Parts: sequence; structure tokens; C-alpha cells
Amino acid sequence: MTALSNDLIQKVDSYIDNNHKTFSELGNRFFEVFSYDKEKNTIRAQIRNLQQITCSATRFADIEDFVKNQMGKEKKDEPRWRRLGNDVLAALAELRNKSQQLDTDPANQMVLRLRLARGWVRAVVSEYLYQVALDQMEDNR
Amino acid sequence: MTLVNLLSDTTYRQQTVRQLHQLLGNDNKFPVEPSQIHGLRQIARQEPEKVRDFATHQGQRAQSRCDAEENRSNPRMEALQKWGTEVNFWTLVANFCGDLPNHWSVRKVGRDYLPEEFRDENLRQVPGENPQETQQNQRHNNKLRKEQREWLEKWENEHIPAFFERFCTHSLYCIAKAEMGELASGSANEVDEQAQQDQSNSQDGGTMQTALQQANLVE
Repeated sequence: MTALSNDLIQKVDSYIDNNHKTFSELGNRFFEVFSYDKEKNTIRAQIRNLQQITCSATRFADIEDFVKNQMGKEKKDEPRWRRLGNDVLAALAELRNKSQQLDTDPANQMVLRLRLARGWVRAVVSEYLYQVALDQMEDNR
Repeated sequence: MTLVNLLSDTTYRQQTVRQLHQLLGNDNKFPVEPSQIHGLRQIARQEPEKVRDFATHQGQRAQSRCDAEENRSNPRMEALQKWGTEVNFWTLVANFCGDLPNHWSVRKVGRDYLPEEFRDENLRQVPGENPQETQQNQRHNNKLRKEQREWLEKWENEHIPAFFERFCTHSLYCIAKAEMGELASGSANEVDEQAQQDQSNSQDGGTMQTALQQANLVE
């Protein structure tokens, strides 16, 4: 795997930090659309799957494909991914653009995209989990 | 990181979006069923060398339905259009695994990455200056062609599954968008986004090939 320079790593980290609010808003939308299983008190497996695939992917397009696949196989009466999928794909496209702005070398761009995606998914899923926690605390009162 | 990962992330993704957009245009219907896409993906994963035959066969079936419709006393325009687009879809798929001029294909991408020793520049002149040289050159050329062919077959075995992973997933996504009534506008947006990316890549200067060579991803 291509090793990124410290300068590039810093740029990625500061981009993730500066855009935390935008990423969190998407996490919020995930909560609105997916919510969680209130009977079993468990979160949706698909959110964990998104995080899992983002953290383990060797190709950025695998993450985009995960979203497209979910949208493709969803039942019409429960269109969660279809409500949210385009926003997620747009967010991923932003990350792809950012990687191209940061470096011209395609091999570096790919490593950058994956690093950006991992930062992005951490922010999105954390916000979703936070919203779940808030909701559970509200119910316990 | 391997070249197949990088191409999957860039060229194969771009071609998938572009080719499907060109095929569908402003049509808001996808020409084949999800089950056919699943079948295509399965074959590409397990038997990449059979994708072309599979696509040709599917195309012929669609063509015969199209012909049957045309022979009816009152051919239904909608059905004719549907079968027609399906024929075009399968032709596109077959061409991805072919080597036709004016058609993008996985093999053509492979040709760009042929190791130097297998390239056409190494072919020798036939006839040579004397019959013995002609014979030697002929043998050399045959060997080179064989090595070229074997290398490209290996390339296809690795890259056809990777390309069709992108293609099939994007097709399923297009089907979902068609069901949502967003296919035409959505695809156009993605193609625009793609075009912007292509432009920014070319403005950055240097070909992908050069950059990959620097990153030691290509021989």
C-alpha cells in the first residue's frame, strides 16, 4: 500500500475535522430514516455493515457499490436506502473529489479516498449512535 | 494495492456509468430484469471467459422476441422498443469482453498495460532478407503473439470479474432508480460528475499510466 506523507495525512484529518458538522447531519438523517429496533433495543445491522465495509474496503468503489446494492435489493414497501442512498452517494462523491484535489497521483488518490471514507463513516455512525442513545434516554425518563 | 483495485475504483467505474448512460439516454426504464443482472454477475465471478457467450445468447433471445413482435399483425411499439434496448444492452455486454474497434473493452485496457517485451514493437519484419531469416522471424512473431494472447487472457480472468462487479451493481442501482422514477436525471448527474472528474484529472497533467508506473503498479 502506498504510504501517504505526513502532510497529506494532516490535510485529510483537518478536512474530516472541518466537515464534521456536515457528516453528523448525515448521521442524523440515518437516524431519521433507519431509527433502531426499539423492542430489542438494537441498532440496524445495515449501519454497522456500512461501517464495516468502509473500514475494510480495499477499493473505494466497494463502498459506493454497497449503497447501490442496498438500494437495488430493497423492497418497495420499506425503502430506507432508497430514501437516503443518493445523499450517501453524493457524500462519497465529495470525498472522491477531495482526494483528487489533494494529490494528482492515482495510487495516492485511492489511499486518500479510503482514509477520507473511514473518517467520514466514523462521524456518521457516531452521530447515529448518539441519536439512538438520546432517544433511549428519553424513553427511560 | 494492486492495479485491479485501482482500475476498479477509476476506469471501470467511469466506463460503467458512461456506457450505461449512453445506452439508456433519457429512457426511464431499465431493459433487463434484476435476475438477469444477478446471473451475469455470477458468471463473471465464476467463469469470466463465458461472459461473452452468455451475453450473445441473451442478445439472440431478445432479438428473436423482437422479430416475433415485428411479425405480428399489430406490432406493439413499446414491446419493440423494450426488446430493441435489451438487444443493445447484451451487445454492449458482449463487446466489453471483445476486441472490436470503436468499442471500449477490458482487453483494450489490458493492451495499454502489456509488459514491454510483449508489445507489437517487438514484432520482426516478414519476409526477412533471406528465407532462413523469414522463417526465424515468423517463429519469433508467432511466439510473441502467443505470449501476448496468454497475458491478455490472464488479464481478462482477473479484470472481467472486477469490471462486472461495478457494472452489475450500477445496473441494479439503475433499476432501483427506474422504480423510483429517477433513472434519467440521476444518471445524467453522475455522468456530469464523472466528466468533471475526468477534466480535473486531465488538467492535473500526466497520464494515469505514467503515475502508475511511478507507483510501481505496472511492469
